[in-house]
Amino acid sequence: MPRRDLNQMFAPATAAVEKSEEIASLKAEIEALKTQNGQENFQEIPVNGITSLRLPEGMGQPRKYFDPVKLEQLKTSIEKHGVLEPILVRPASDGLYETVSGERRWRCCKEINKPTILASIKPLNDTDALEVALIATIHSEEVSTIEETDSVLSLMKLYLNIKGDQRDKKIKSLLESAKNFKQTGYGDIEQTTVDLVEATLGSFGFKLGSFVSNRLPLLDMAEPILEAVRTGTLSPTNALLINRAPVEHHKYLIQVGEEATKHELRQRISEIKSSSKPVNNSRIIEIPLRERIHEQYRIVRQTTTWKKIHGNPKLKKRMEQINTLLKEILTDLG
Amino acid sequence: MQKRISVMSNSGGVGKTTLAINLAYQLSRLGKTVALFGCDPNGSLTLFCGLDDPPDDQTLDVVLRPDFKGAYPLFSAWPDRIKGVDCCLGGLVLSKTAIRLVNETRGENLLADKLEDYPLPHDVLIFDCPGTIEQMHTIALAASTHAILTIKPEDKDVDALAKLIEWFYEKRDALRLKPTPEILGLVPNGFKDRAMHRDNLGTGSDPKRVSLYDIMEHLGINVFPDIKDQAHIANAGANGLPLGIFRPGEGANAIYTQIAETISKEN
Repeated sequence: MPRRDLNQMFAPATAAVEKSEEIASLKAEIEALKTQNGQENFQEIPVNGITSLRLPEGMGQPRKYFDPVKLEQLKTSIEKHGVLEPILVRPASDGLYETVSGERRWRCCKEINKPTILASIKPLNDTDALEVALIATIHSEEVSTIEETDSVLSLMKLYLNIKGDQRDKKIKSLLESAKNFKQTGYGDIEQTTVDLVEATLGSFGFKLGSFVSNRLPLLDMAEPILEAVRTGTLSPTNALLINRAPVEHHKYLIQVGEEATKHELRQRISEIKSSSKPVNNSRIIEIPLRERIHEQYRIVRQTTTWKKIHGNPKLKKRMEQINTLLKEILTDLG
Repeated sequence: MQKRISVMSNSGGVGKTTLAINLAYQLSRLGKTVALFGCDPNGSLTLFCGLDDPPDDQTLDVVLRPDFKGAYPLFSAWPDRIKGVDCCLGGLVLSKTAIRLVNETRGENLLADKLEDYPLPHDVLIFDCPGTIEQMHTIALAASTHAILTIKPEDKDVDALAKLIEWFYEKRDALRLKPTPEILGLVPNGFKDRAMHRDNLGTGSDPKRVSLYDIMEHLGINVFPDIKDQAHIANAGANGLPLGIFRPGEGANAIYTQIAETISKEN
């Protein structure tokens, strides 16, 4: 008999805790509804009394990037017709309201100096606020595939309580295990986890297998690029372009990409590629050798890259040479 | 507000009474007054406090009688060393008490009711519960603001802990307690440096194995530092003394102090 797994031991306890918390939150919700006294839940609130959703470090964030062109279009529409759909905000302890859904509408109102905006005010804790914001992002028609994928993963991190520095890695490997488990019936993962993952993906119309093979690789971008997308300084389209450019130009291109259109950026990348010397030397920050090697190796090991190398005898031979060279270096070290 | 702490486990011999008396001692060093309640028919609190077995009419049993009018039978613990730790002792009579309470109106809430009607002046009350879930657990829980759980990192104890946690949340909601008692934390006790203990505390050879810490994090339950198994702790108890008096230099005292500080801070 193998030893019993702790997750299995604690399954009823976990259910009891969750049920207790669920009851508590339902009670709070009912309490909140009572205090509203049946009044209409929408209010005009001052645009200046609103700020973006603020969440604790490490919780993950809803999307931050907003296409300037689309923002202009929305502004025009608001000037003409006003805000047609109320935004969702939560009250914060400092008296401000934080946007949970409708950040774009709020920003537009701010920029065209509208004094108030119609909002639904709902007290939400950090987890619930993030959950609602992520779901709203995924359902948005404007969202790019990267942002959508990123948001689905964030939601899954939230549901599976995956935290810490390695949370991106953890959730990706968990999804891969889930897919393998689904295909082979084996793996170091609980059936309940697989079910939760599938149910989450299913609620947005994704299948586990295709999400892992088609969507996850989108996030296999160099970390600084992904970071710039997440903080909202870089558009997902430009991010994809930069990721295909040589790694030593990434830092410079991220700076360029923040201002440039897709077309301008593409031009700049081809200029860089065609000239042996970088276009603007002063703005390129030298990346340490260790990082450069690591980055190249990371790409080489990716399954898709490796398959190509493996299928090409010439490339395979050169990889063998690299391997020999590395071995020699290590031997020299003693 | 008075803190009322149940020290609970779902297996015997895991160090509840040891934890209870050491917390009482450390709390008194922090300037708090403490009343210890022995809720266990085995009367271990009596032994661990260096007291003599009381007659039945001077035990917790009298507090749980309908005609109780606030004359708590309290005995001072270690009066020559510290002030402010009083004990309301248990004993074999409690096995009868539990049966009697089943038919009593608000039997499960009786201790809570008495403490409300005849409040004790102490800053902290600590209920030293029996080794496995029984009626006295429910009575103590109903009277508590917090619970501290303790276990030995053995598989059988971990399994029993899972059931205790399940019981705690279900009972708490069923009794509709206000304020709702919260779990202040888990104290792993009697840690021995061997594979099963290491596995359960997350320092084993398989980094992928789920540890108690992972589970508790998931459940949102705080885990205090583990207390290593050592003879001094058992010897202190057998001598009717807290470790802080018996061996003030022992490292485990720092952990007891840390938990005591958490109790005195917690609102």
